[in-house]
Amino acid sequence: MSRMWEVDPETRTKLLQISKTNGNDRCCDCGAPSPQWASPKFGTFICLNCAGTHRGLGVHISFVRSITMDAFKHAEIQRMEQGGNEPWKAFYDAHPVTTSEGRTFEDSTIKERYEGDAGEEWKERLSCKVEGREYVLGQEKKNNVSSRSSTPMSGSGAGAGVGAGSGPRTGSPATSIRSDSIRSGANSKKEQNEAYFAKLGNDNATRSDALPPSQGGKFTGFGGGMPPPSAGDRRSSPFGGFGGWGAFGGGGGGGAPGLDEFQKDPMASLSKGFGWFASTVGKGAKTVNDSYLQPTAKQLAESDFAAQARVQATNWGQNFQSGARNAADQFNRFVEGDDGGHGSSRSRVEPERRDFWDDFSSIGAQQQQQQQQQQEMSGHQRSGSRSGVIGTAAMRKGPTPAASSLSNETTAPSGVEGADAPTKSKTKEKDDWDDNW
Amino acid sequence: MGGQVSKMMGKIFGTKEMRILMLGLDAAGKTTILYKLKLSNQDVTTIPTVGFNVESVTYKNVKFNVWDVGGQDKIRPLWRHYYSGTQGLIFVVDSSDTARMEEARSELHKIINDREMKDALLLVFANKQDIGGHLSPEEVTQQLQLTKLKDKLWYVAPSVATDGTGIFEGLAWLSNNVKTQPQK
Repeated sequence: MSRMWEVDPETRTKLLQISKTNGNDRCCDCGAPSPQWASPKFGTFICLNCAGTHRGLGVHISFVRSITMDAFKHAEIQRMEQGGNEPWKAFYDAHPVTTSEGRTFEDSTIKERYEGDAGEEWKERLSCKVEGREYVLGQEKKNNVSSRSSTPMSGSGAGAGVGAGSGPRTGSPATSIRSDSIRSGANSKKEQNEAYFAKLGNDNATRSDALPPSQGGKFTGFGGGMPPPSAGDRRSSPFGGFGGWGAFGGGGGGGAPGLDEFQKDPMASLSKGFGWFASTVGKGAKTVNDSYLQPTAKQLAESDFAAQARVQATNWGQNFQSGARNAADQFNRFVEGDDGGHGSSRSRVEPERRDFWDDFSSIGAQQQQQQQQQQEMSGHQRSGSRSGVIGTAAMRKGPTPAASSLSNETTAPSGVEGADAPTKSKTKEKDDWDDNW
Repeated sequence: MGGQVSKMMGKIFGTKEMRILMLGLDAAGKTTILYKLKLSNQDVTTIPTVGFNVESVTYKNVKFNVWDVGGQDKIRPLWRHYYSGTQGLIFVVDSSDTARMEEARSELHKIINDREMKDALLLVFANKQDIGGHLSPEEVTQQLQLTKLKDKLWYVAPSVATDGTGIFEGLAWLSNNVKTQPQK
């Protein structure tokens, strides 16, 4: 039944091949040798420890798979093939956001590497390669809007608008879009966005009311009679956001070109702006939901908990009484060893695990190393260190009904590579596997 | 002998012991929940579980022996070896991983349809409620088709394992309901 434990042979071979190319023989993030985990979204190979960090980012950023213990979808294999550690590092280092912030792959944290715009773009480029699409910058930006429901605001709207209408610009539109994205940073960081838009709002507020925007005057919203946007009040006044964007178009692009565009084709610019404005309002509503409605729900849940606590308190009182009343009864049960029923699983599981590791002997060294690391880590975590021992030791104590039915397995001493115990148990396990899986 | 005396005291004064099995898809947050229970005021960073972790946590007179088993695709068939004697199942769901809800549902139903798990309480943690685009506990309930379950006591608790929100509420439910289960 060893096949239960393996990724299907074809996938395995394929992954093995891929892992020899593109610098995939070392962990992408820390350089540890022979990484056994992967992030198919990025097409990179990573070690166990970095896999832990990746998982902490959430599946929308990096979805972690084990090369040996997880099934890969066909598309995921392709991503692994098309991606690779070195290409991703090179892409990150060359990306305008990274360079403009003066960072390199080496001195960025894992969070910075994968959560930022460079990561988003890399993922989109990979998707395009795998799906055989042409990579379009604006495309990616639009995808972002729909794929990230949580993002309250972002450079994405602005990016789409500026990118699409950047014809007359002589400079690189990509660069100026980036400079926008830098300040909004990782789009998920709401505060950054808010600070960014507040800043834009401030810039706009200092402009003169008397002049038209094209001559450096204030960008006010359209829609008739709206008061000028107050600085920093983006949420309640989406028009301020619009003004802010206008300010960006004027300021970020070096002044003239963005405004030129506005003058040459006012209708197109306005409609673009309006589309963005509508999405801003939608996002604003989402933000209100996030920050006002959900906390309320949380409070509700907490008050529910308080009620539960009261119930618990009364229960405890009753519990105490009944506990005393039934003391004799319980004492009898205790003497008869009723407690043992808790755990036969230790003895049942042990051979199984050994079998599992045997099957992985091909990658044994690495796995053992990882396991050691893990043990060290969990040992460290259990600072008291007694608890783990209590659990497992208690499990082995005394004969249990379930264990006696599996008596051929119970003799295996835990933690020692018993020579015959696994083979004995294998025969039994085989039958079980066939029945159920 | 000392252990026996303290066990006896436990019996007399109404402390209960409960064997809990914690399962769920990989990266759902099982290990984080386990260590957040154990080390409640520390930050927890975890690595993927290869094998299992076990800790005992005492909360409100109930000693929970919590088994946390790795959730990678190929080690899920091992879960059933931990079933016997389990009084409570904690099934952890990553509420933001909407793409794998169906997978989670199928795994959950496989577990609770097992004969050895028929008496176990079912606590579902709708975890990662802090990540944008997450499903609400109601949506998780719906996706996991919990309302279809017959003869099963279940409860869905929203949680954010990384800061501990909601975890102890879930345990409170378990400890409140354990005595209604037939004692073996």
